[in-house]
Amino acid sequence: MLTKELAIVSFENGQAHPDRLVRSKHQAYVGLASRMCDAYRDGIGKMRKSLHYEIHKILEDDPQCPVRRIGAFCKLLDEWSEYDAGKPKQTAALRKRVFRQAAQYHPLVSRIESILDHDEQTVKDKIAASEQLTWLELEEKLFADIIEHQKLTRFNVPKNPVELLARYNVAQTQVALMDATQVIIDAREDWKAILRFAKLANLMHRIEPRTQGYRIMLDGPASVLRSTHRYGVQMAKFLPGLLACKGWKLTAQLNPKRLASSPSHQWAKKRAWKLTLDDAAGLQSDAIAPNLTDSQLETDLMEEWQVMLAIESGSPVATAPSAPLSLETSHSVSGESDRAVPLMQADENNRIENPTRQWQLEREGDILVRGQRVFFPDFTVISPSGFRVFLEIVGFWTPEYIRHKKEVLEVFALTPLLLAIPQSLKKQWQSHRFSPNHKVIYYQQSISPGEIIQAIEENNP
Amino acid sequence: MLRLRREKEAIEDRATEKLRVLEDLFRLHLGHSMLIFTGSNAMARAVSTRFLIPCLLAHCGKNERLDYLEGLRDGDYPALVANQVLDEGVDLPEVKVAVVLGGKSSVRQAKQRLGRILRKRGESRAILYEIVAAETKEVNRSRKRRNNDAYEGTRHRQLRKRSGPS
Repeated sequence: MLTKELAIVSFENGQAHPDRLVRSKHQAYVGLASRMCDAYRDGIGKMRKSLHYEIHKILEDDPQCPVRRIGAFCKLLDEWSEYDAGKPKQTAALRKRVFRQAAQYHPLVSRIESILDHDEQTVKDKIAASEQLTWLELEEKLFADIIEHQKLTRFNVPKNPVELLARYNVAQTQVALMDATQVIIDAREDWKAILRFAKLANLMHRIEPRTQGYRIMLDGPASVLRSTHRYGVQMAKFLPGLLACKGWKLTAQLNPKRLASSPSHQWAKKRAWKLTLDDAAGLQSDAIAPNLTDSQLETDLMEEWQVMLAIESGSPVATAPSAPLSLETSHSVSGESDRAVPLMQADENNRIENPTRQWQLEREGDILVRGQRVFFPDFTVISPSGFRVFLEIVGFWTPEYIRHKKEVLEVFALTPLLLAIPQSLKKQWQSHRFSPNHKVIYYQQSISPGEIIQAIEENNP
Repeated sequence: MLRLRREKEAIEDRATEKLRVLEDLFRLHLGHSMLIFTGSNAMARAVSTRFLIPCLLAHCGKNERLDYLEGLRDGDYPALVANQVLDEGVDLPEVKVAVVLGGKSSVRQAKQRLGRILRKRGESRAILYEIVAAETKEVNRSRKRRNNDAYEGTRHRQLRKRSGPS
């Protein structure tokens, strides 16, 4: 992830173009990229500061290279690296000893003018000797805990240095999208995968069916009231996933007031800009494999679920209260929901074979469509008897997004659904009249599988 | 690019020049606690390494910071160098001599820094030095700082007034 200070965008005909290195114009960068990777590969043990200096040196070979691009490459290379964080406590203690010892010789002068003066080098050597070091060694250690002084311990060398350029291009687009108020994706193919990526990134979304595929509207980072940066990071995570998909076109509205433009582009802040991108744009995401487990909340839930299953299968006695009992109850529930079948598309599949006879959590959700409303729940929970309840987790929000969500819930009133809402949003939801098929749990940091099962069982006595 | 590098080197040279001036000021005010304000963390560390005086930067932990501040008050440390940490918020011991090696031209920063040494306590006087590299933007920044209201009533301002409006 680049910061806004490293973003390069150019503006033309109402379009914003994030900086892109292309073979036709930037052939030299293939060589530069491999030199940069080499510098890091051979730079194990060097300080971050000096590695960055080397990158500066290498990119000086392109006289046109903007300063921001140099900074961006340093940042991206650092992302592929691991640094030794040093030992902050020990370093602080060392500094304290050195400074206290040096205080009696203050000031350390470079020109001796009287016999009372203390020569800089003599004193420094003396203090270093008391630490059993030479002055040069001590000097290096004195501020070893500072970020710029951290030493490279590992660099994940890319198979092909060109990956660095691909990563750069994606990163510039990612940071440009930080200023988006709205992102519209028209998906003709792969829409299910695109939606899943959007959900995994916890993005606020609305979906509309189109004659071919779906239109997915995402709220951009610039539209969020709070935690804009966090949301921007989520949006950035979504992009590589999108790039891995086929058959889509992206149009983003940028908020000109917040543009990540360089100071020379101040004039650009006076009008609206669009950023368009499609699957043929040539941006590659191979450099960063889309991570399916990016949402920590959901990953935790999946993990806990696995733990729960392991415990249950290991000790069948512990499951005794839930397993046979819920078998009975959920039968009656599915009977109840059978009445709703004609109204609901997904209900035919509402009961499936569940050979494991355990509660199951599936990430793969169905896309539910009713007229112009589309609903794509996060998870499907399958009871031991095969009864399915959808689980939807609410994360980021704006007032409009909550309103939209409530409307969608009304349309899908007959769908058995469990809604997980953050505790902090309780107020906004309390006034909402939930359908009897919908059940709400409020969560603080994480959602426990037990709560989910309990909520489903309570709702279907 | 080459031109930029040369300029940068030139400024770095002036930084060593500044350290030399600072050495003279340390000699002059031997026995007084001093505060050194810099414009960048790197410069603060350079001063710290050159004179082996503590430098108070944002990365310092609470314990380290307390030790430095108490040490300066008790005379365990002769001076303290800082970038922006000292500008606001930190409770500083009384210091009568301060040196500004660099910083912004902002009114706020100038006021805060000056306020650090100007504590009303009897007839005592405080001295604030500014070391600027000639023929750089620093000269203007320093002038801007000094035109500030915060400097009202200082000897510097009195001298300017006597020489008439300019």
